[in-house]
Amino acid sequence: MADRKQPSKLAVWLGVADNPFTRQKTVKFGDASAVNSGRLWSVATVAALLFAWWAVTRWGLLDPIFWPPLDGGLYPWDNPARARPGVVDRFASLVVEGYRNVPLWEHVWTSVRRVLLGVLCGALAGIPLGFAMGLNSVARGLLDPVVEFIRPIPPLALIPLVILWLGIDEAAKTFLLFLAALFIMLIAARAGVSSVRISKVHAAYSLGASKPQVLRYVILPNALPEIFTGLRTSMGVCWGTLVAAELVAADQGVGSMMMVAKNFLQTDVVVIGIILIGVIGFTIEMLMRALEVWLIPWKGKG
Amino acid sequence: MKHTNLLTLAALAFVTLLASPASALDKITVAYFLEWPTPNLVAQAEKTYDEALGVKVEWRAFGNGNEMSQAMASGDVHIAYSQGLVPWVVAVSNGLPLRLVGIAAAYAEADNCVVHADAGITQANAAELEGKRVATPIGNVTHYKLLRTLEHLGVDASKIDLVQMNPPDAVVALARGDVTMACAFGGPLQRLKEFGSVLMTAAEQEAIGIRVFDVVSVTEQFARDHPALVRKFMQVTDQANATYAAAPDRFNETIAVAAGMELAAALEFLETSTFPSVEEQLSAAWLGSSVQAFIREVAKFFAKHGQLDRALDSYEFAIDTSFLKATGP
Repeated sequence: MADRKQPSKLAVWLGVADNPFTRQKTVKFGDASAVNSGRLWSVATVAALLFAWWAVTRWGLLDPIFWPPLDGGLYPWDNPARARPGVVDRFASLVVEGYRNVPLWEHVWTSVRRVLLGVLCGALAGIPLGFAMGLNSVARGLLDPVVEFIRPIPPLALIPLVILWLGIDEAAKTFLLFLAALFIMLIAARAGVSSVRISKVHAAYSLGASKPQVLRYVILPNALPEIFTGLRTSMGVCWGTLVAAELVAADQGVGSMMMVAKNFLQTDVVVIGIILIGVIGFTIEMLMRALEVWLIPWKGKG
Repeated sequence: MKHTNLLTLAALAFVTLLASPASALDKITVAYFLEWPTPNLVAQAEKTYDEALGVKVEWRAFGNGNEMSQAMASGDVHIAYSQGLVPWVVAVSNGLPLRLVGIAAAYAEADNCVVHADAGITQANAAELEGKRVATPIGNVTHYKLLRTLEHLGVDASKIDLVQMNPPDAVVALARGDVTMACAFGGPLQRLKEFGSVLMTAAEQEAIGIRVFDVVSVTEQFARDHPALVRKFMQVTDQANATYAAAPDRFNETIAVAAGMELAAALEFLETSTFPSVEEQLSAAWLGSSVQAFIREVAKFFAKHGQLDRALDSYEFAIDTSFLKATGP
């Protein structure tokens, strides 16, 4: 015991040393759970990408039309009259002055609100329907043709109809996101129901549980892990749909901002939009994972 | 055996894909608008361009002039027949290597804003537009006209909820009453007029100095590498305009079909628009001097409104009339 030196916490966090769990593993190659986080290399990747961007800017390797400079002051402009802001200085001006009379945080919040609303509506409708399809043959028979017909249609293909029916307001955008989330949630809930171990259901009945009790205390908690995975997936898909939905009638939101910036060839604003979406999506995913650990600690242990 | 065939096919397809940029001059690509009935559509339909230029000419429809600029930046599109002046100014101000080689059409009547009939807004109470929603393509001639018109009528454009919509979508939005006013060009404008009336007539707008015209632009590289093709393109266009002017009735049908429009709608556009000849384009009224002055005005206006980061001091370097001059008999 004493002859084995404990690796430092930092080394474990960076993933260069084995953590207490992977240390016990005898097989290193072939066992996915024995792989360390490798955070050191993540940090190195980000640093290398940033350095590449800086280098491209510093020596003017890419025309700013195609890829914006990191900072406008850094780029060697052959014609000072053409000098334009880079991503860093543009971001600063977006934060301070906003884009098209709308502050940047409002663009971001508009987009986040739309995605959350779409996922929420999709979950509220999709989970009960998925449960019904998983538990009742009439419901399954009724819904199956409709679900299987509409599910493969990408929400974006419905944009022309949605404009006609719902106009260009929030309702239209939310509806598109709702559709994107609905079927993912429905399928997830249905899969969740079928993943409940039948022995648990039998046990509950033999203990005298009523149908509502079985639903509430056996099926729901056991289906939650699948439902949560569905929530995470639909959140990601909704971000993908959002940008296209916002292009319809661009007013506010990150997608709209990118659309208008595109028309003025402001590549820097477009890239800022891309980075923002990536960062927000990443943050939401991290929050969802934390929420999952907190809300359903029994995941993977049933 | 089957396997090898498939593999060979895949390899061949791959090689063709790779090779296509190199042999780009088997064909050139021209950007144009649908529902935009210009006389040269006759030459497009009858493949006169292909014959005169000696290469295949592929016509690609775009939704607005900025999309044309972007496609030209990537090098996939060589010529834009008719790009709005404003998208061209935006592109050149941002350092895109586009060259203005001619004037395509002046169409004051075919580009305007229509107020919904229920809104009860006219020039007299135009300030009521503040706080309302207006649909327009953003960053093009229509947008410029809208901003100039609002400025003239004393409306604060920053208080208007401006949404980016291409003309066909704008018609749906106005028809549904989602927007109080919609601005569009070409065929959709005529459909807009079914739901309301224009805020300011074209004649009134021209009186306050708003000019509305499209240009012919080419990428700098194409102009440098293939000046003969650009010259011939301008030549064929000029001939098409002249042939049409001599006997419009003979070609109206062809043009309407090529533009994808009803004959009546196409006629209205053709009758109210002008397609200046080479001599006219080179005169003081156009590229002789006044276009250059107007371009500076447009750039300054957009820079003032914060849409352009900066206006260039001069746009002369991006205007090349040598092709027009060389078209002479």
